[in-house]
Amino acid sequence: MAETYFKIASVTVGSAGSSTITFTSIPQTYTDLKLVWSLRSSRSSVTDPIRVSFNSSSSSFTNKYLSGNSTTTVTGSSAQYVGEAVGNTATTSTFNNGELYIPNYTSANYKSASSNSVSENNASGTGDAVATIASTLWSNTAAITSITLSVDTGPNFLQYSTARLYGISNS
Amino acid sequence: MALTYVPLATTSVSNGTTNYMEFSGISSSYTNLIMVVQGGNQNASYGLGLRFNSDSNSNYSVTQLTGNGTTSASARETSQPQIIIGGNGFGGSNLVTDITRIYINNYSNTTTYKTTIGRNDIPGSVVGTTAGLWRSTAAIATIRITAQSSYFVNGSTATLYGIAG
Repeated sequence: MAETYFKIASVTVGSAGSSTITFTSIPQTYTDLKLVWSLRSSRSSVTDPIRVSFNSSSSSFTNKYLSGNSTTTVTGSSAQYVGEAVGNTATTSTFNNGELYIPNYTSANYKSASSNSVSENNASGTGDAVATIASTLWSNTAAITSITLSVDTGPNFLQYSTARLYGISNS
Repeated sequence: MALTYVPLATTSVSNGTTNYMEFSGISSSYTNLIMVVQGGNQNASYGLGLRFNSDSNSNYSVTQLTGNGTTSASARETSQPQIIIGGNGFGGSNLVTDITRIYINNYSNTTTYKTTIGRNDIPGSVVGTTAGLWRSTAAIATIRITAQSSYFVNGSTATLYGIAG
């Protein structure tokens, strides 16, 4: 029986760090895509926003998010935003955990995506830990063939950051 | 090797008068279920309803959390005839790009009430999450997702996955 939840590719960041994590030449044979990650940024802060782009495009993205950081709940708009990576002043060895679900990524409709993201580091400062849910719309009818993750400030994802892309078939 | 993420069925809407999508005869041989719906309610003022085993009695409750970029809100509804997802200011649209994901863990046990975790997005407009409860110890064998007070948008799809192990 054909695999229906298939690991397309995985990336583990090496000791030099990496400014982006990119999956290219994504097969067009699945129904949905699911990207999962564990990320830490080199930014000298406790968090660093994570952005996603499709097909090397950073235009035509709209977004809504809802975040909580133990003291404040915030909803807003921030294109391509999918959550907060753990920054490099956060507790050692802590990494963000997140996922992005993209249904019907080969369709001729605009592409939508749903993400969940958490960064928790057993610290007590305001904003040290963030839980985020976000919705993303890419107003483009092209099939998604590549996905890139990046951080706002970084400049890099740190060693041991990982991302895995899965293809999901509905038959 | 046996699959652990098994697509059980897919259904789609190709006309303007489909009020619900339903999965019946669900095998009890998996551990968890995941339903992925892409598409929305033609009436943007309403959301979707989730019902199990054709039970239309007041055995459902839901807590919703949502944000639209300006306002965040939470609400709770008890003793409802279905788990309501979105609508009433908690996200509804008439777009085929809407995403609703429902996670139903331990769905086939006959000891506990069934709890659902939902993520519902109108991408670029509204983001939300829901906690639902069905006060029944019956194993879930049928799931119906309904466009409240209206119909699904053409092109809407729903897929049910069984998670083994």
